[in-house]
Amino acid sequence: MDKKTETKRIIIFLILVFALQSVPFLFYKFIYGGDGTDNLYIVLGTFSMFTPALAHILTRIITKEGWKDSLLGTNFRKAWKWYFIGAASILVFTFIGQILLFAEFFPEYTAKEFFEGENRIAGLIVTFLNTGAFAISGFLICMGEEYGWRGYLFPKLEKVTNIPVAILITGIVWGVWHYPNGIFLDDASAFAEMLLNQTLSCILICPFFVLLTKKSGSIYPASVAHSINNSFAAFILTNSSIMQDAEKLESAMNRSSTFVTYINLILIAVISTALLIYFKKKENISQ
Amino acid sequence: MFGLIYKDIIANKKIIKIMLIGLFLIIFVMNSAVSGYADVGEKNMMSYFLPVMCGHICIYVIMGCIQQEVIKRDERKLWAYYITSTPDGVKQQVSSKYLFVLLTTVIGFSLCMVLDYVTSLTFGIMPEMFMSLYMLMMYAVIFINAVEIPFVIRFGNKAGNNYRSIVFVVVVFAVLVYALFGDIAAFSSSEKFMEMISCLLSGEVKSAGLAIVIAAFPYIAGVLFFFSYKLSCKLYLKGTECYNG
Repeated sequence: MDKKTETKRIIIFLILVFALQSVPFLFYKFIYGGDGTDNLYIVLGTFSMFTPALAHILTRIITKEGWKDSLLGTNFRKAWKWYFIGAASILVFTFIGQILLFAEFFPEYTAKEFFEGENRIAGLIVTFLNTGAFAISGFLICMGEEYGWRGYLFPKLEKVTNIPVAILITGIVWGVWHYPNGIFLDDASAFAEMLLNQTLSCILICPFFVLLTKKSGSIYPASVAHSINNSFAAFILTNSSIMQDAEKLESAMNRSSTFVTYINLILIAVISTALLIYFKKKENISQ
Repeated sequence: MFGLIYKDIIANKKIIKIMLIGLFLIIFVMNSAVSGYADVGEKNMMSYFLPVMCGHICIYVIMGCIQQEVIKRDERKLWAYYITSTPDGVKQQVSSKYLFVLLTTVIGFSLCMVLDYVTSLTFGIMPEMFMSLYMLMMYAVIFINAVEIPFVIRFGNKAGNNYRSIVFVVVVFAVLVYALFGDIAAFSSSEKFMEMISCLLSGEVKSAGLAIVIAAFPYIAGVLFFFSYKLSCKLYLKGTECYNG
């Protein structure tokens, strides 16, 4: 299929995804008059996670391109190791990121003091198992995003441009798509900072999800990894003794992000991009 | 395998449509019950929790009926001999059934979440308050299916019905015994009952071991479901002897 047709499809997809995302939130803020603290906002937030998948489905219907290469098969027999690599790797990198963060932000605590309290080991095991079960069950919600970004946008961009540029554009679109998270922030600079941090994080983690999707031929490994990343993102803080102490917690909340918060994401981006380039070269040689 | 799932859906589409209409009726009825309590009665958590839990149980019962119909439809010797003659036939047949059961359970869970969101909006509370419980219910259904399906594969659908009846009788018996001899202080008022539920969900149980077992239950259910599939593959051909022509 020619690049012009693929570009048109990408544009239709982008219009749909941002329209589906924006209309409910803008209606909620400016017409309904919500302030982001009620249950309707949470319901809208959950619905918005399915807008990329919805945009994918609508784009295929509008452009009449059929359902080939929609990446909905599990391919579990051939690609089972990518399910486990995805889940294990993202867990390891998420914890590396949190450990680095707390080593920088809370050097005054030892690990024992960080987790002090009764039955801490049992409590941590229970919370880890519960969070893992949530993450596995929650992959359906993350599939709502992955089916759009890695299931449609990236494959289309890959046909129009090369892999690194396709990853960059997918990451930027994915990051900007998160803008409703900041529509209730007080000033423009806070909104800009939130959007910049979000977009940077999305750009850095995008190569990893792209790698999982390409090697497995399915969106499920990336969906599971995405869900694990979301579920365990604040595991260490929310299970530390800091959460029980209001003064310590306020002090924690006031410490701002630094470069350290991105080290694990940069690592994962570099490794994933290198692997993608390696596999692409191997594919070209075998052809 | 996906072809076989497609075949199951098409062959049973009438009953699936009827069941799905029933499901949406349940969501509507439960939401109406909750809104009735919210408008008229005393707005406490029990008046939200009970209708929602009843709705969830109904959803899983209906999903179970759909699963039963789909598995029962292929209990014919002609079909069994045909599918066995195809490459990887037994594995494809059994895995299609297991995947269908898993998919319908996950769809049931998704519908339970829809019910929760709709009723929480009506009642005016935050959604997902009992998310841990809903999730445990889903894994409990997977666990029950993991034990039941090999019986059904080996001895036919009637054995599966008998198994479900036995499980139901055992659960009712256990509840009666607990009601007669156990500590029922938590059930003396709605506030104490809701306090017990939130302690259970937050892992604040008396025994750390019990808390770990409850937390590990989803993984146990998942692993059991996989080994159940492996067992069913071995039992499939023996089970065809119970089928009619």
